[in-house]
This record gives sequence, C-alpha cells and structure tokens, in this order.
Amino acid sequence: MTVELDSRLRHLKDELDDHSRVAHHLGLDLERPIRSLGDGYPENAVSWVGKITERILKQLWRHHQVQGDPAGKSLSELIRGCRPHISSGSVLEALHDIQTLRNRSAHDGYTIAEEDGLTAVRRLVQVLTWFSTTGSQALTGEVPRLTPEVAAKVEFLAGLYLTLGFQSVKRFELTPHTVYQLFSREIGLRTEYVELLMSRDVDEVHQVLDSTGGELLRTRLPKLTRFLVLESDEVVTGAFEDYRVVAYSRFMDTLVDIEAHLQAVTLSMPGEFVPLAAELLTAGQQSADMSVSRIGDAHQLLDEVARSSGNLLLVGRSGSGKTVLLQRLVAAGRDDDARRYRFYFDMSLKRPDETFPEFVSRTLAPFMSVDSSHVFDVFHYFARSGSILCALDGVDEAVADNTQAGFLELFGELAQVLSANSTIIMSSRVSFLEDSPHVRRLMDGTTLMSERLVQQLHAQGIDPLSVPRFSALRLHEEISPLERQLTAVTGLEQSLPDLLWARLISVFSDASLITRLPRAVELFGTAVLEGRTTFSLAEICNTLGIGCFDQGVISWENYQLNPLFRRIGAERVAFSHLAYQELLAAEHLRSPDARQAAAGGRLTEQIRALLHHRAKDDLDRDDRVLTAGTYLVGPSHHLMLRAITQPVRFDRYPVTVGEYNAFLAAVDQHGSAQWDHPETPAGHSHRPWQERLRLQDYYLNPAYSDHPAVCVDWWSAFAYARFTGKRLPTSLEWEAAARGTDGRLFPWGDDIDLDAANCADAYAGHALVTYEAWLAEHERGSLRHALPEKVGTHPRNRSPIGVRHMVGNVWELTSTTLNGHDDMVVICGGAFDNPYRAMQASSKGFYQRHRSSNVVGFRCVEDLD
Amino acid sequence: MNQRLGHIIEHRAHGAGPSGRAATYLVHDDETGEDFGFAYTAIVTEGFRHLRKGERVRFLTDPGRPGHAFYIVQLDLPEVEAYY
Repeated sequence: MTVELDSRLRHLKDELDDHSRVAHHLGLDLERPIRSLGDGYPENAVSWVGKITERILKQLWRHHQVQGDPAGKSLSELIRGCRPHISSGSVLEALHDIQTLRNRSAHDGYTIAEEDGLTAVRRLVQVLTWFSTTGSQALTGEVPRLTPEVAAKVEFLAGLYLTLGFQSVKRFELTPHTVYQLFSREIGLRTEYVELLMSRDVDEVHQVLDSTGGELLRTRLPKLTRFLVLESDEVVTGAFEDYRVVAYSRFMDTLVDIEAHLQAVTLSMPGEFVPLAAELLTAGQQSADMSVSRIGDAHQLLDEVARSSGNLLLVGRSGSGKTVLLQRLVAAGRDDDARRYRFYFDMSLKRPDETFPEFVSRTLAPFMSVDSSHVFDVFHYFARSGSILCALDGVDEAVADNTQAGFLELFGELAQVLSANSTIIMSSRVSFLEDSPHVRRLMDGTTLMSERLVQQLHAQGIDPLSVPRFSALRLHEEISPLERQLTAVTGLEQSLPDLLWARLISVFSDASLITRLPRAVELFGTAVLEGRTTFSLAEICNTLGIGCFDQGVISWENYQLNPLFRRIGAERVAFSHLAYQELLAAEHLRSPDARQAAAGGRLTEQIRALLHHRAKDDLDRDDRVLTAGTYLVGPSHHLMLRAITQPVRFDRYPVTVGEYNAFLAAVDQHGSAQWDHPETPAGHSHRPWQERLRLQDYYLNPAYSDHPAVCVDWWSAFAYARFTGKRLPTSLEWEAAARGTDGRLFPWGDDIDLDAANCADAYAGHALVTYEAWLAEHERGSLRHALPEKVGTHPRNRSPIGVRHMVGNVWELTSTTLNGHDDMVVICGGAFDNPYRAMQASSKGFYQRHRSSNVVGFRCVEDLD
Repeated sequence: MNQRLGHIIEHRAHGAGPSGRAATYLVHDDETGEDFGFAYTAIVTEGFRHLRKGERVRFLTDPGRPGHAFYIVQLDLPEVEAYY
C-alpha cells in the first residue's frame, strides 16, 4: 500500500467512524470496504459498499413504508423504490455512482481500479453523512428526542445547508423544541460558518441558555451567518442582537425574493375570475390505472392539491385557461401559509439548447441570494422536499423535438424534481404521461398514448409506476375561456380557430396593417415551425416595417399589434396565446412552397388541426390523382412533412373478389411468371388461403364479388398489380392520398363518424376506447360476425381526391418494406375488427410478405407522367 | 398476475375458417425458462395483431391459469419513421 493510499484510507475510515450509530443499529461493518482496499482488492471494496448500501436502502424502504418487501430486491430496484423519499440530488447521484460501480465490478470484462474503490467509499460516506446530518432517525433507530414537527424542520434546514455545500460541525438537541446547529464550508482559503439556533420562542431559548451558562453564544463567528429561527415573528433584543431572527415559515426569505419572482411572472394575469369545470383523476398505488376521483371547479381542486401536496398534470385544450389557473395558484401563495413559496415557469421560454436545470437557474438567479452554481441545487432540494409549489406551464411547448420521444426526453429532465413530497403542477395541451384507459376516455382521440410510452419512460430511467403521486386534472369546458374572451371582443359566435383568425384580422385592420398580414404569416409561421416563440421588436420592425410602430417609435407602447402580444422582458414579445402563432403557421403551410420549405420543421398536433380547419376545402377532386408535392403525414405525436415526387392515380376501390378471380383465371390460362416478383418463393400459389377464409364460399359466391379480395399474400398482390399494368402504392403515397394537403385525421376530415367506416365499434354498438373493452366484446362474441363489406359501402369514406373506403374494412398492403426488414411490409388503414382508433389515415402495421389474412386486402396505383 | 419478459418462439397460423381461430403463439420467459401459450387476441394493441418469431414482449401470467400468457406487449415496435 502506498503512503498516499494509506493516508486517504485513514481519512475515509475517520469519516466512516462518524456513522458508528448507523453501523451499530443496522449491524454494518463499515470497515470492510476499507480493509479490502488496504489489502489490494478494490473490487471487493465496491462489492461491500454495494451490500452496505442495499442494507441502508432496505431500512429506508421499511421506514417509508414503500409498497412490497425489500428482501431480495436488487440495488437498482431498491434505489428506484426509495428515490421518491430522498430529497437530496447529491445523495441520488451518489447512489447512482455506487450502482454503476457495483455493476462494473460484477462484469467480467471490467477491471476495478483502486480509484474506483475509493470513489465507492466516498459515495457511501456522502449517503451516510446526509442521513446523519439531517437527523433522520430512519437509520439510527434512536428514540427521538425532538418532537416530530421540530425534527422535520431541523432535517429540512440541515439538508438545505448540505445542499449549499456546507458540512455539519456541531449539533445539540437541547430540548424537544430547541436545537443548535453549526455548519461550515471552505471556499478557497476562506471558511464560512452558519449557525442556526432553532426554538419555539425566545423565552424558551433564554431558559436553555440560562441552564448552560450562555456558552452557546460565545462563538466569534460573522454576525450575518447567525440565525435564530422561531415558530413565529418576534421582536428580539439583548443577547440575540447579533442574530438574524426569522420565523421558520419565512426562513426561505433569507435565500429567495419570492415577491420579486411573482411580480416578474404574473404580469399577464387578467383580473376576472372565471370558474372552470374539471375532473381530477388519480392513479391507484398498484396498477397505476387512473380513475375520476373528483369533479368540481379547477381553481378549488388545484388549491386543494397545493395544500395537501402531490404532483399533477393539468391537461386542457388550447385556450382552456391553464395559464391563468397556474398564475392564480402561484400568486395565491402570497396570502397562504400552505406552501407560500410558489414558483412559476413559462416553459415556452426555455431555449431549445438549454437543459431544464439551466433554464431554472437563468430564471431564478435574479431572485436568489446563492451562488449561481447552487441555484438549481437549492430549487431542486426545495422541490423534492415538498417545501415549495412549482408550476411548469406549457411543458408541451418546451419540447425541442416534437415527437413522443422528444416529450419523454423533456419529462425525464423534469422528473428529477418529482418526489413523494413534491408539489409540482405541470400543464400541457397533450398528455404524454397517462397511459390509462380512464384517461384515454377523457382525452382527445389523437393524443392517445400506448404501451410504447411506458417503454420509453423506462428508457429515460423513469419507472411509470413509481412516478410519485401523479394525478391529472382534465379541463373540460364546452366553451373555453379563450373562446369566451374572443367572442366578447369580436362579437362573433364561431369556432376557436375562426375567432382567432377574426381577432388577427381585426387587430391588423385597426392598425391599418392588413397589407402586412402575408409577411406576418411568413415571419411568425416560419418561426414557430423552427421552435421560436419570442421576437425582438427590432426584428418585427425589420420584417414588417416601421409602420407597425406608432410615430415610428420602436417600443412596446407604440407597437400597434400589441393587443395580440405579451411582453417578455424589456425588448422581446411573444403572442399572448401560442394559438395565434400556430394559426399563422397553419396559414403559412397552406402554400405548397411553404410546406416544401418547412420539411423537417416542428409540427404540433395543434398546427395540424388548425391547418385542416383553414385548408379543408382547398382540395376537393374526384380524379384520384395524387400530385407531386409535400404532404403532412404521421401520427399526432410524430407529424412529418414528406415529399411525393411523381404523380400517381389511385384505384377508386380496393381490389375486389371479382377482379381477383379474373386474375386467377388469367393465371390458370397463361401462368403468372410474367407478373411475379423476382423473389417470389418457388411453388407459390396465387390462390387465396382457403382454409383461413372466414367465409368458405367467399371467392365462389357471386354475392361477394364486390367485396375486397383477402387471404392473399403480398406476392400475389404484387403480381395482380402487374397484371393490371399498375403497382402497389408506397405507404407514403397511401397516407397522402387519404389525408390530402390539409393533413386530416380521416379521409373525410377530422370528425369522428362511426357511420363512415366498417369497424369493431359498429358491431359492438358502442365506442371501444380501450384494449380491455375490445377484448371484452371479442370474448362476448359480438365481433364474431364482423366481416368485410362491399367496397364503397360508406359513401362518406372518401378522400379529398376521391379515393373510397381507405380506412376500416380491410388493411391494405403497400410496397413499402419496414426499414431494415425486407420481409416485412407496411399495411395501412385498419380493418373491420379493429376499434375506431386504429382507423386513422395514419394507422399502420406490418405484415410478413408470405402471410395472408381475412383482414388484409390491397389496392393499386398507376404511375402518371 | 405476474409480469414477465420473454420472446416469441413459435407462431402457428391456423387455417381459421369459420371458427375464427386465427393464430396462436408461444412465448419463452427469459428469466425462468418457462413457455406460455396465447391467442392473437392477447396482443395489446388497437391495431394489427401480429408477432414475429424472436420478437421481445412483456406479458402477464396467472397462477390460476398455468401455461397461459395474457396482455402481451410488444417491446420492439419500430420507430414511426420506419413505416415510411
């Protein structure tokens, strides 16, 4: 052993000795890792640290009554289970490091170095120090001397100073209500001290000091770092004149100027109070299934959450009042003793290249008197310990990559402030958290989440079942506050998109700027597709002209379009509601050139819905020709603009039994070699798979000749298309033909119409919103009679270019193979045994080329010059 | 019910005919080595029900119904862009 190692080991041993009470109570031998290192076996040291950590976590597991038995749980499972009850970010990091080192030491191909062993022991010391210093009895099993209320306060204050980089030097529990703590930290050559004397009132402190002869106050530390923390405000003189006296409930004032923060974030709060109907959904402890637990006014329900603690996702349509709700909730902290420290973050202001901790630090640094490097650490500690309420408004607007994976990446960042004690209220226009039948029922059909969400949460390191105490508040106003407000301003009774447009026109007209509207459409529409929602007044002047500013003075007061905007700091503005900017983006995308230029841009479901609303009548033909151009495709959580380079004409209907029988007759007469795909397996037959046909006379009975051809595989579909001089469409062509240029959800538009398609819901007689509902109907037998119908049965099932019966009835084979899997082909559109939700124009599945099914058919396209 | 992880080891595409018995699968529990059977209706999806041999899945079992798997969730679904 080197001298240097010996010295470091002795130092670590001394530090571990400080935790002998924990070691004794839990029966731990804290010297084992040190001995292993001294003997030259760092891998054994890491292994011992892992075992000790497991033992500590099992104790915490039982202490906090985490569901289940910790015996037999792995280290990662123990960390996950205890995580919601650990408020310190550094302890969580230390546990993560221990787990990583342990995993490496168990891996055959990885060598554990001496330094790794030392790191593991240091991390263990960090964990033990936290629990010892914060006075938690969880690990010592000692009979508490302090009352539980005082113990909790002492624990919070000790944790706060550890978070700020201090170490505990002294701690005396003088009475059940009086505690003295001394902390220190070294910054360069300087040592900083903080003394905290906490008690019920000043009389009790006097009594304690009298009994100890006043020894405690005879330190000579800087005056500003001495705090006397009492239950309530008191005027104190005499012996405590060099103490800063503060009520416990106001202690955070020493670090945060909450009033200045509130003034900065609630400028746009309107005065009128409008009740909002809402449903509170809470998750079960075991299944995580969510159910409606309360119905009532959203303000009141949120207020209850603020008082009782808990994390909540506020979900509502655009303009449903989420921002006003959150700003009111945060401002109400001024007059409330329950979590009076409330923080509000406008998540739309988070820059794309900024992490959540960086955004929080930038937003709060002006209001916190701690080093900028500690701003997020302190906020993180406040949030996880449940000391504050934190409102994160418009989390969906902070997603850099507007895909489900993008949502989850952001949520992974936000989740670090969630704990069993935290009170975090997030708002979003779409739900990316809830994967619950009950929530699905209440959510818009296009925001439905799947099991894939659960997997992706796991990939982000989040266990959906252990996201602590997360409930959802769903706003469900028939008419949103924004609609009411715009109806009052415009005097019109129209849909929200029309009201927004009317308001835009009105403000531009009043300012005599209507001729600048096209440039505004391009400027603001392009910007939101790039993820930009704030603008400098100079930029607006440069693009729209000085005429936007009264008397040519570039200022907020002279900005003639300011009824549509809100101020962001001194020089920048954003739309008062993002829906205005998204409407301009939708208007921008009506132009084919704009769609082409925007390929790769950030498209939201809101922009798509507005585009459909504005452009639904732009395309209405019956020639079935899909022209070259850029089309909006993809599910709502992953919208894309994709180019069609060559025009094609679609068959009006899927290939029918009668048409396919004609092909079979030709094959019988001439063989099929001239039409077969070169890779068609030897001995392949184009005959339908008779044994599989649900209706055994399907290809024989003339009654079915106008029904779609099914139970034929992709090789036969390919050959049929060649036989007719055509080909199978690509999956992109298929979807573009169904959605047209406005990106509609269904071939006929965005509205749900159960009469427009042949789907499982129709056989069940009601909407089958969940898998469970579908399965129940299947087991009941009501889907046994579900069958393909004649093509063209539902006249409304018609695309903007006149292609019929694209969704429902039968899935349709395409020529697109699944990326990386040549044998797998993409199928589109849903079938008669699928629920309505699977019949969107974007619905897709994949199937092997040699398989055939009663629910899979096909149609052809013809290339045009 | 117990949650397990495994992969598909067999797919029997029956000639369903009028009975509607379309396909059955066998899933292998990667941890315990046990095999369980299930019908295509046990695949949790709103869309097309089809699993490939070798595909990884999460599933539930019920001690009251030994040998059967339920709530089969696909773990290797392609990314959205792979369909285009």
